[in-house]
Amino acid sequence: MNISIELPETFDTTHEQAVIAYLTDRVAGAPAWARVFTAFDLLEAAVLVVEEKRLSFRAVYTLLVDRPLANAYLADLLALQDVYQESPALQARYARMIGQSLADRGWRRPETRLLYAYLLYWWGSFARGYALEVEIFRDLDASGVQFLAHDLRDPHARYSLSDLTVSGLAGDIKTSTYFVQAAAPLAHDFYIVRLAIKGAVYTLVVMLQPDAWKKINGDTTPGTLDTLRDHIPAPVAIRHRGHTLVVLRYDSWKQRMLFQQGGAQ
Amino acid sequence: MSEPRLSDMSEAEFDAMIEGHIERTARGDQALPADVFVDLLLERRAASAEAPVTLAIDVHGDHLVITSDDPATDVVVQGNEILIGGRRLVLRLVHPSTS
Repeated sequence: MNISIELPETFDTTHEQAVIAYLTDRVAGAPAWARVFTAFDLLEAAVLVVEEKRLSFRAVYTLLVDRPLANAYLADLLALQDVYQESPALQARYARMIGQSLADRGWRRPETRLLYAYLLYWWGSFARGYALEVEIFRDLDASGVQFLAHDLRDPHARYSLSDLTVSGLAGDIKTSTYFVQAAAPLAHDFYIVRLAIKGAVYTLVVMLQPDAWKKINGDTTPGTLDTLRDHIPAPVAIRHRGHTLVVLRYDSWKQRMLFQQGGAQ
Repeated sequence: MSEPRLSDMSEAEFDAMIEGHIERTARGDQALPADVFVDLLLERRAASAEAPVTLAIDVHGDHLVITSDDPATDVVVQGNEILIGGRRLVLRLVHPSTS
């Protein structure tokens, strides 16, 4: 079987090094992460050529990962007792199936290693993203915060514009890497995202819309990215690249929403 | 010393790298540092907003179906409708297809 990969002309060795750095967990700092995101952006234009047939990397992802694995993974994810603790192992179990699928088709070759990396990258993004969503939905439920969430079991609802609505505010739950990779319009009232601050991992609500923040009616402390950990759980207003982001701890946000909904003491 | 290329790795080296990656993902989430997150998010968002968006239009009988080449933009398309910055544009054929 003749197999080859066609890469976009702009994909060079620095991008390949960025992919290797990602796979070996050696990405540190904004410039290095920027190269990772650009590398995977560029691979969207890459093509797998099998004999006479041409498949974009995205088409291979749909064929080998999304169609056979997505719904099964989500069903297994929803059956977990402790999503935070157990979902990484579940994600890894499914990731191993991807290599096997490539091998079964005879597509796991030295020439297709970038394709394999691409599939693992996007699988990780999908699996971590929905694990975070389920974790947040369950926690909001347990906390008594009233919210409407899209149905993960329904493939159409899964791709709805908002993941959840709380007190009339539309929100999205994203992993930090997917949030940056997608670079989607910041159209939601609020975002829930997990970030590392000075080595510690926090779940944060990033309020991007001033109007949404006004509805919560809270004051903010001016801060910088460097002083964020010193200020939280107080809400911090960060000015960066011409934008103002209001950032606060997820727990603080929950308390405010509970109070607004009349459920807090 | 030059950096290794994927194609230069032996099968065993590559497999070990992949397995190491999968094992690390099984140990937990990889959250970006807050400063990297905010900086790159706003930088990439600005770059995305400046990039041109191509809309392709398919005519099926009297119906128009519009698709965007970049679903991540703030130009939202659905069927024959385009939403830009809160303004809804509805496209219709002046002379319906005679086929």
